[in-house]
Amino acid sequence: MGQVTAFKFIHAADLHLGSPFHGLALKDERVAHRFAEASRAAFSGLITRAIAEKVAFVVIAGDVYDGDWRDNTIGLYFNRELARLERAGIEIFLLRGNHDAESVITRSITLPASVRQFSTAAPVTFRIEALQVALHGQGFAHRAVTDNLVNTYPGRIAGWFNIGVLHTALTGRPPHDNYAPCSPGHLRARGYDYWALGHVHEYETVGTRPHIVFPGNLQGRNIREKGEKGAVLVSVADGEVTNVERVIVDRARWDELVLDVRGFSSEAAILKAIEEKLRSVGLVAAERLVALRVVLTGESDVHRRLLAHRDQLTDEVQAACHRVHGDIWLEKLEIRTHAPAKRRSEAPAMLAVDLSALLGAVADGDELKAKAGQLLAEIQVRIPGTIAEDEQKLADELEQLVAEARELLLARATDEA
Amino acid sequence: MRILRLDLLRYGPFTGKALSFRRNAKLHLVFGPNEAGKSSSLAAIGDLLFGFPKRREYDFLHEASTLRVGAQIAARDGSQLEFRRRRGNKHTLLSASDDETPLQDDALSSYLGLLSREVFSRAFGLDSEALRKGGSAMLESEGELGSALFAAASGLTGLARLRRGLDAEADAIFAPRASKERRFYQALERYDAAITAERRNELKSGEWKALVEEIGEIERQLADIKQQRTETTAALTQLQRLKVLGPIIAAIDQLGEELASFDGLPEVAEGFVADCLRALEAAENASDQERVADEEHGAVATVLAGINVDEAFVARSADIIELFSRKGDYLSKLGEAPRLELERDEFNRTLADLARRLGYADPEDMVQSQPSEPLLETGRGLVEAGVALETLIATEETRLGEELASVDAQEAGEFAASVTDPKPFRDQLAALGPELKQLEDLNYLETSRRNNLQKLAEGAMRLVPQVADFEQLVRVALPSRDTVAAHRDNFEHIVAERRAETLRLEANLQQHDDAEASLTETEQSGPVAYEETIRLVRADREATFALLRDQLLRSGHLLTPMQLAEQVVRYEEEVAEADSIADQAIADAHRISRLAAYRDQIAKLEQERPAIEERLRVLGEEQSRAAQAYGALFDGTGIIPLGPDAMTVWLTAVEDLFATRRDIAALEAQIATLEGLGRQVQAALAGIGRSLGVRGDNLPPLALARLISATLDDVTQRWTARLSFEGARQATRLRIGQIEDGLAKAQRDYKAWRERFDALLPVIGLPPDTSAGGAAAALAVWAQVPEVSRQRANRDQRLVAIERDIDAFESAVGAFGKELAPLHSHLPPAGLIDVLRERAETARAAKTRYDDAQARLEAAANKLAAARGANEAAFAALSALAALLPAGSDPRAELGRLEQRDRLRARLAEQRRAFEAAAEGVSEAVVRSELPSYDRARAPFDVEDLERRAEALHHENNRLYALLGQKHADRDRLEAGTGSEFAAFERQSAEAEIVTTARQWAVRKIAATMLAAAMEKHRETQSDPLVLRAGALFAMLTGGAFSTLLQDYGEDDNPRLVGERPNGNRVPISGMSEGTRDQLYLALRLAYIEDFAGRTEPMPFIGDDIFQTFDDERTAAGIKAFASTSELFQPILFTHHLSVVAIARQALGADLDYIEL
Repeated sequence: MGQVTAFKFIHAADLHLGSPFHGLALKDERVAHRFAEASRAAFSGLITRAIAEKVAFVVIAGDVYDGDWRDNTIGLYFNRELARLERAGIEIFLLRGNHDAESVITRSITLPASVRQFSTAAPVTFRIEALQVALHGQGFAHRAVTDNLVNTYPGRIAGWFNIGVLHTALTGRPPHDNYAPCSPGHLRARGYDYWALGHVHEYETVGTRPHIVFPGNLQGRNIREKGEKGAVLVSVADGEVTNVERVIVDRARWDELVLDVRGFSSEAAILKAIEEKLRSVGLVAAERLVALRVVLTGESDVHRRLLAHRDQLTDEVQAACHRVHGDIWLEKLEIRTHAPAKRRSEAPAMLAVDLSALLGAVADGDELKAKAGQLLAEIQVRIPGTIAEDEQKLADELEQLVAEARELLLARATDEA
Repeated sequence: MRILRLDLLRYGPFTGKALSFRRNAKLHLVFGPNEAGKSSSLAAIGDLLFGFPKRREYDFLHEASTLRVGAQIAARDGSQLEFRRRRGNKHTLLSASDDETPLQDDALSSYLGLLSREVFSRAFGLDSEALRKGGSAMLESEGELGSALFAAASGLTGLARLRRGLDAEADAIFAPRASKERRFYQALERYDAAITAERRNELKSGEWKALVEEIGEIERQLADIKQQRTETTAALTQLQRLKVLGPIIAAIDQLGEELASFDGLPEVAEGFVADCLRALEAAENASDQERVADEEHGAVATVLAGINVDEAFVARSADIIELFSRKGDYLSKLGEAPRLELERDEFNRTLADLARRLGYADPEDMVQSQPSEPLLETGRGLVEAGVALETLIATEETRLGEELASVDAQEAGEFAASVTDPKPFRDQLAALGPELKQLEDLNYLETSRRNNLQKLAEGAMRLVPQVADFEQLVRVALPSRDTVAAHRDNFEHIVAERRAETLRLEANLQQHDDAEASLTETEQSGPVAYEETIRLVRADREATFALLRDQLLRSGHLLTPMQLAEQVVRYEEEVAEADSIADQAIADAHRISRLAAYRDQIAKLEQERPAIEERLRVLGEEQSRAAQAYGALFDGTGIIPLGPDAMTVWLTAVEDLFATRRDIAALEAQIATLEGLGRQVQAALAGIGRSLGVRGDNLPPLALARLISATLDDVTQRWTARLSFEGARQATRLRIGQIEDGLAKAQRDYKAWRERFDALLPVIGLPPDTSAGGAAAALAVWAQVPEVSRQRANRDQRLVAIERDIDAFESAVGAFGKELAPLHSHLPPAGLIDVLRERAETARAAKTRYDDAQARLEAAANKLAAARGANEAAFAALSALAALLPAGSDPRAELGRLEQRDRLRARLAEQRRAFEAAAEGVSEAVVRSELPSYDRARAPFDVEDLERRAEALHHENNRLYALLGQKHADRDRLEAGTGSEFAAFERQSAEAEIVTTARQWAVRKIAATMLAAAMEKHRETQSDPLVLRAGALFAMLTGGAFSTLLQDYGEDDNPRLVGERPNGNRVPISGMSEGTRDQLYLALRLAYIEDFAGRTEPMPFIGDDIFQTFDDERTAAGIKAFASTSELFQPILFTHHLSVVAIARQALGADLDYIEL
């Protein structure tokens, strides 16, 4: 390699602009606004960072949009941010992924002139003469590309710094759809110096010779997308990657706090433990918003009380969050605890004196399940169909609901007595 | 499981307390008054069986880790276990032995079965409050069978309320009928609103394109207007320019013409005229200054000539002034000399006086003989020592005299009488102390004896029935109170049974009469189609038909058609009758069976009656036997016994009197013993008294002892006084010895001192035999001599110095006077120096003025020279400038013309500058070319037109700019806006809330359903025998007010519990009194526990003061009901009411196991 240049570029992917957060029931409108703006704020932050770092160019490896938009503001917003890069003399390379495939996105806003988009018909190569950098790539023409696109990528340009841009799940990265499948071996065979991948939402360095990198998505949008989110800043000197640094730009963090409540004898003790664990969440989050799921697990004497007072406990946990950090918002309180195992006491004599045994016998019966099924059907028809089926189908949770109902009864009956 | 013994080893207030539960008792009644630890014992049973709770309790006396409860328990199969329980998590079961070996943690499982503590305490424990709650809960659920039964079985009340509460909560969340109050619909509304907002806020591409195009169009229009405004402005500018510049050009031309008349005037450098005028003025100024300087010089020279200086005084002036400064000192010394002479003479006189006192004729000899200071110091020391020794000797001699006088006085008043030592007598009296102490009790004992005797006499009189001779009772065997109680119980039992049998007999007779009446009434309601009657009618019918059949089937007719017809009619009638009777029988079946039942009942009642009558007779005999046996108990007492209760009181009183009688005997024995002792003590005390000379043999021992003790106090006082007198005499003798020794030593010291003193006297100029006092006086005089001598020398020296200074001043003044002022030398020195000083000062002032005038003269000469030079230079410069003007011309006139030309030129330049300023860069040539087309008259109208046009264009421009700004703002807003993104977020948020809310609803709804199903299931599993048994218990508890319990169906088809009266009336729970509901709850509870006990290992039932709200009758019924269950499980009742104990005793007799806490 003959060139003696040193430069930096940013590699991002999976912006999913226009995809709202999921599963966060917030009553406070101001906070909701801040969460709603997080995806855009994260991208704007990345652009600001790119300008500050004086990068040579920015590569976005697919899924700028979450899907076709009816709302042009999304496209306008994207355009405006790219225009900032153009004004700073930074080139942009865009590749379409499964979410913003050619056939999916039917609308467009005319993007700045410095933006170059990879074709979806065949692999193309863009050259940056001044830096002697070549970028090879092919976008998705339609949502489900199941061909191995790499096989048709052009050969490396000798003496240049070659970057492959691809939207893929490689050999499979559940739960991501296995599009444009290929193996790291396939990628290495091209002889490029850096592979800028997209599609997988978790940050991952698949290999370092050459560098094969998933930067992850810019901003987590639901509890499955936990932890730090952002892009990578790649430094190149004398035709070799000298550094790959994560650039964390997410503005709202999804996090999960799992607490084994074994040995805790009261709700107060559990709350105290939660508050203690929350401190590290708060420290890591710093200025960010946090959408936190708290999961209680383990065998517990207070299991029944937790279930019976779920609403009150949820409020208490939210209050504990705010005591530690003003912007930790409880996404959900999951109570996965269970009562200490006891001898089954459903002998006929016991049914007369022990409510627990009696309810156990009823809960196991088909009659109750049938009645409960009818009840669920009553409310199910009122639940909007737009909600994901796996989340709204109460019938699937029948066993769990019956178990909770039983614990609720036992707890309340004891309180009554 | 039954508890045989409960060990409260260390628990609550208990230490080592054991409660035994008698095996065959029908009811265990644990009585403990308030604060006796009832609640501790109840808690102890729970802790014993199920372990201590984590929370620390009952550790206020014993430390928590040492708490122990133990028990002996037995299972139904006969197996037994003795164990202890401690606090802890593991191995809390221990063996009952002292080594407390840990037992298996499940050692109790075969005794407790599957029960948890919670279930045990609810289902097998009951207190008054829970009982009332149970009764109320049944009312609340309107007797709804499922929940009433379950509440009674489990002890969990309030389940009906819980179900309604859950339903209400669920209803607040969701119901099929939409309502804004319901949370589910609130979330749904939020969801709908979000969807609407999403649609409303989204930016459509058509809108965006239209906006961008509009902006383009506005920008084009703005460019057009800009062009038009430029053109208008240019035309307007030209008109305005020509209007201003026209007059300027005219002025320029005018000035050009005026300047032409100055042609021929030389061109001079710029500023020439001004320079010339300045030179003229400078020359005139220089000439003036020269004249002023000359006048100044002359004036200064005149002043100088008038000053006269005395040089001789100037030369000596410093010395004269110095000498004048010493004049004050001179005058004061002149005055001081006579005072010093007087002082010197005074010191000389003092010295002469001192010399005389020391014996010197000439004071100077004395001064010469002055002894040295160390010698004088030694002298003073010796004098002091001598005086001290003389004083000491005198003092000691006086003391010796006083002590000797005191000895003489003591010898004279010496103690003559002998005194006895009291100690042996005190010891003897002390030895008698214990006996005297015992004797003190005698009075008290006698008082007690009298009191008891009186109590016995009064008690015997108060006995009812009266006792003729109380002493006789002592010899007779009296029955015990238990025996009396047993007789009473037996008697009451017989009486009760007789009453019951009588009632039975009455009931039998009553029922018999009722049945007879019913039978008669039933029979009177018409003939009865008895079976026999039917059979007979049918037989007649069959016979008629057989005859008829024979006639019809045989060939030969035996009967005439007439007869045949009669036969047919008869048959038809018989068929009709038989059918009629059979129908009647069917219709009367019920009446028939009732009649049969009445007959059966009557027969049964008649059959039962003799047995009841026989039983009544037997009971009558038993009763009279029992009365006889009771009377026999008191044979030999001479009284006729009253009823058992009265006799129990009598027996108690008699027992008390017996005890009093025993006390009297004991007191009398003690008194006799003490009287013997008194006599012995009296003898001993008399012996001591005689030795001390006390007369009191006739006194009682205690008085005698007090008299002896008082005498001993006197003896002791005298004995002590004698001992102190002896001590004082010995002390005086010792002091006399000491004083005599001291005196001898002082006299020895005085002798030695006199020898040293005599040696000293000549040395200090004193004759031998001078006393210490004389020596002291001489030494004091010697001490004054040096100081007086020194003062006299000082005055001599100071007089010499003063005279020397006076001479020096006077000779100096005289010398100056002779030299400088011979005319004044006759003046005294002080006056002469004043004259000299005044003249010296005058001479110095004249010298200063002269020097000053000299300097000013030099300055004026210099100034004059400079002014002359400047005048010459100015004139030379003026001449040089005048040379440039035409020769022969008048310089001043020429300068005037030159000045006028310059002014014209300046005005021209000004006009040109005005042109430049107004022309805004347009050249003069262009303006001159435009001027011909400028019509000054029309110009204002043209300007007005153009200004209107410019104004119109300006307005249009502003409008378009505002519009453009607005459109740009729209575009910026759209670009920066979040569009429908927030609404989408809101929708997701609402979706999450909908699902959560639906889930909350589902849990509550399922819970309510589940609870209803559970109650229903429970009801279904309950067998009728259980309700029957509960009915029997209810009948027992209500003392027959109710006969049983039944299930009834209400309007909603739900089974409900009702009570049935003996007369068949059904009473719903709402119709029962509070007390009856409590009894119903208790009946159900007991029935369940019996049922439980029948199915699995039974648990003890523990009641805690459950009869608090019951009256005595209900309490007795409750106690009996409990006792009736004791075959199946162990009933244990705790109470703190004595009335309950009494009622239980009466109800159960020996079957009651009474345990006291």
